[in-house]
Amino acid sequence: MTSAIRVRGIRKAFGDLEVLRGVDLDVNSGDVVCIVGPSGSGKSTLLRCINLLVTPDEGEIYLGDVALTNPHIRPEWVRQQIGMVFQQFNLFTHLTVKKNVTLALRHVKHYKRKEAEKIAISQLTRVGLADKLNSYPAQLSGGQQQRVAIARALAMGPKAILFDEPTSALDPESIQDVLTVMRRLGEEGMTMVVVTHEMGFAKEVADRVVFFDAGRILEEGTPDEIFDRAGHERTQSFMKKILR
Amino acid sequence: MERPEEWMRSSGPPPPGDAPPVSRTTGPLPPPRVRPTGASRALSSIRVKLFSRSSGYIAIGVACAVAVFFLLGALGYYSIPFIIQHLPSGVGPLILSLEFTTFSYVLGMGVAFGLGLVRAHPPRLEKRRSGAKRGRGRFSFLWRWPLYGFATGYVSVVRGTPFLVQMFIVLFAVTTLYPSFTILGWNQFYWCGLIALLINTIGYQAEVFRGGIQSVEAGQIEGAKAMGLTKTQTFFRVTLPQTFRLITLPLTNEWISNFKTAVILSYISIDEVYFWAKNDIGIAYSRYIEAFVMLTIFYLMVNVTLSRVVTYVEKVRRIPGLGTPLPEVSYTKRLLGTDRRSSRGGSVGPPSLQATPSATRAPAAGPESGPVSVGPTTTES
Amino acid sequence: MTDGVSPQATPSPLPQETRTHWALRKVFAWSIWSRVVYGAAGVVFGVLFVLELGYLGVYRLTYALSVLNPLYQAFWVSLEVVAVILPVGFCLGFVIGWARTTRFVALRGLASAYVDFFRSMPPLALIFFFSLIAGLELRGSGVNPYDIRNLSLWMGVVALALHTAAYQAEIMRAGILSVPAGQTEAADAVGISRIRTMFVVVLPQAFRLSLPALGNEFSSSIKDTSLLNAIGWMELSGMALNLTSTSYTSHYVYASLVIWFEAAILYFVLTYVVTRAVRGIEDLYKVPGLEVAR
Repeated sequence: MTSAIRVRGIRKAFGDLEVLRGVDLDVNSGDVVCIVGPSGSGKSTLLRCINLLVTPDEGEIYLGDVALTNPHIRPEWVRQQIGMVFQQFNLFTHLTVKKNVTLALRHVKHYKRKEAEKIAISQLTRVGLADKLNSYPAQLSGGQQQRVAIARALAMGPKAILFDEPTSALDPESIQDVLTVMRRLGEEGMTMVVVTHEMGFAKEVADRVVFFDAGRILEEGTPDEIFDRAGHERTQSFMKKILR
Repeated sequence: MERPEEWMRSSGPPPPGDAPPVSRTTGPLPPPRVRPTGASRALSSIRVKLFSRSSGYIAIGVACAVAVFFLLGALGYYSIPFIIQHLPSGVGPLILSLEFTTFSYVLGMGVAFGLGLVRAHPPRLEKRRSGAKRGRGRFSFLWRWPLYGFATGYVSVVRGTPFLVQMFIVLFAVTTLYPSFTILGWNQFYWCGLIALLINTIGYQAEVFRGGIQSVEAGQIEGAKAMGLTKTQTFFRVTLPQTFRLITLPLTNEWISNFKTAVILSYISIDEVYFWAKNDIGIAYSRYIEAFVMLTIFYLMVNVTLSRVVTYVEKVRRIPGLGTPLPEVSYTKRLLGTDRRSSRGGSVGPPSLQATPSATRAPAAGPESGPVSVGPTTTES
Repeated sequence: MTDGVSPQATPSPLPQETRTHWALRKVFAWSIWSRVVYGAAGVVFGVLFVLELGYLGVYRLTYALSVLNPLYQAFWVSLEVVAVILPVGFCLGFVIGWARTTRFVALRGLASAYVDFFRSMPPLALIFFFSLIAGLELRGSGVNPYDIRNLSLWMGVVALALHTAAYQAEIMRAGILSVPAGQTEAADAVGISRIRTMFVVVLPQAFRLSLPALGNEFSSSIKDTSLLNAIGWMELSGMALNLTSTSYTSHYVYASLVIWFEAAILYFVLTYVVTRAVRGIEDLYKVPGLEVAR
């Protein structure tokens, strides 16, 4: 399997606070990698480095063969290849669901309106929200909004999708809807990097689990290895608290 | 192969026991609000206006005011026939006031928007780990800082000095060069007044625009960037539309405030409504109470009408769920200071950015380099 | 670069920012441009001093200084008026703002009427008519004319205080309403009476929340005091007008401009000091963790 995303030696500091201290990560094509760890450990920052929302101070990121940290790369191109789904959904509140999904298609990929709408409809059907085309995000529930966000990311046809705590802002019922969509995506072969606290999801869907703490990867392995037979003491204590 | 809809069975059978069945996603949802067209839209808009509770309160308020008016008149404090007889003569001056206000307001919008845009993106000083940086040129600081400094200085000075002083400065600056001129039927006093009002309103409108631009949620911008939109595209398609929705109320308040400021033009003998009330009614007939009552009538009429019109427009063009709170309950806006009054005179002068507590308590200011930003401010970045 | 980039195996290392570049940015950003007003004032005075040497004759330093003294005396009159208006306006505004949040419809209605009225009317009209009408009403009675005059002057100040109270009422009301309802619930659950809750739980927080907007309001009312000359107060703008009318005797073309510039500077200083003071109070009242970061 080719390595889709490779992260080598990423360092990032905000002022005096060093958030990422040398992170190495490999994500193979078609993998679902779950990143778990305590809050404030830099998981979100790592995700944002991968799609260049945050520029790392040091280190390299590769997407396939392309070095993303190269200053000549257009970040817009990177973000077409790697989609992102946020904790707060970040849908455009002033646009309908359909427009939310077609905005980038029309203005970044320069599709015509009809083609963009066709793609939008198919992606929204894929997440089960085909009937909400003309609603505004504020009229939808949290789970529906997050699914629209996923459809929006999918519409761009990315090679990989990053999920930044996608279910943390949802009520328990909606969480299952979203997780089901994500599981489905994983089964269909999408490369996914998911920062999450949903250990059940990680156990069942992830191909690899990465334990992140204080700006570094402490441990990584298959879900069984991490959840049941963690080597590191910190990992064990974290898992004890989380898995109750 | 499963049909997609089947994954989405979001609520299964209700749990046993007395827990109420959760019906959030089952059952018919309210129909999506498709923008109605033409006549049906007008009709629904009228429905919105007539049956809203706030309209009821306003109606009661107006009725009370009219009742008080007649009561006090009957008691002999002022004579109502006199008022009714002389009110029409004030319409001309009122129109002049409105002209001054509206011309300066409209002419100033463009410049104010530019200034607000500049002020919305203060250049930051941060140590860059690497020399080349996307989005900012290596030497862009040479023009960014002066531009920001100019905008900040302009806004500070205009918001920190009274309009009376500004008016006289403009008057004397112009008349020493051109002592007397008449353009389009207005003499030099009128033009100086207009210019002074223009300079004043630009200063305040700039802060309103700045507040609007900065209070678009950072998350939306991040979402737009993550989809690959360039900065320009994000600005025009995400930030600007939301800005315009957010600043409707503060801009209205700014117009009202401008209208009230225009009264000061009476110092240079411009025949606007206060001048008329004072001289043609008060001094001429010695009827000061009637003059004041007439002035009140005019001002209340204009302000209440304007507030109602704006509320109506906001309701009609409302996007469900998008937060433009209605004027009569937008205490949060008042608090945040997007109310014009509270957007006046912020920290004058020397550069000190003040943050008003925004709803998200986000940090609001970078280096101390600007006057009080009154207005909801989110992360200044 | 239509589709991104040609794939590279290893990117070239990015150069560190040079120290001169960093220093240049730092100096440039900090010293003049972010202190533009102070710097400009310094530059202006420096240049003007040079001009005083008679080269260009635009600005006469001696004239400017001679005019500064009376303006400065009038400045203290302005200060006196401001010192009356701000506290009175604040107290009254607080009461009315509170009244707007009560359950009693009558009280709320009255307060709303007050606020709507005083926010719609221009301060100049309020000052003039209040003062004049008060004076006229008293003319028939046997009150000493000197006292009538005094009273009418202070009625103008009262008008301004009422005007600013209306705005402050709105600000306080917003502050009270933005204290989360959960706080009153929690106090209620513990058994604190409603009135005591108001004083001990809600008001301190409301005060803290409304301080920034109050600072703006204070500076607005300072600027409104410039209108008091319409009824005879010899405060800063009044003195400026006075000087302007006699400035032709100095045979200096820009005399009036100089006078008004100096008045502007003095007002600027006054509003700035007051706003800074309010910011100081904000710092005094801030709660760690709930600060709005600057």
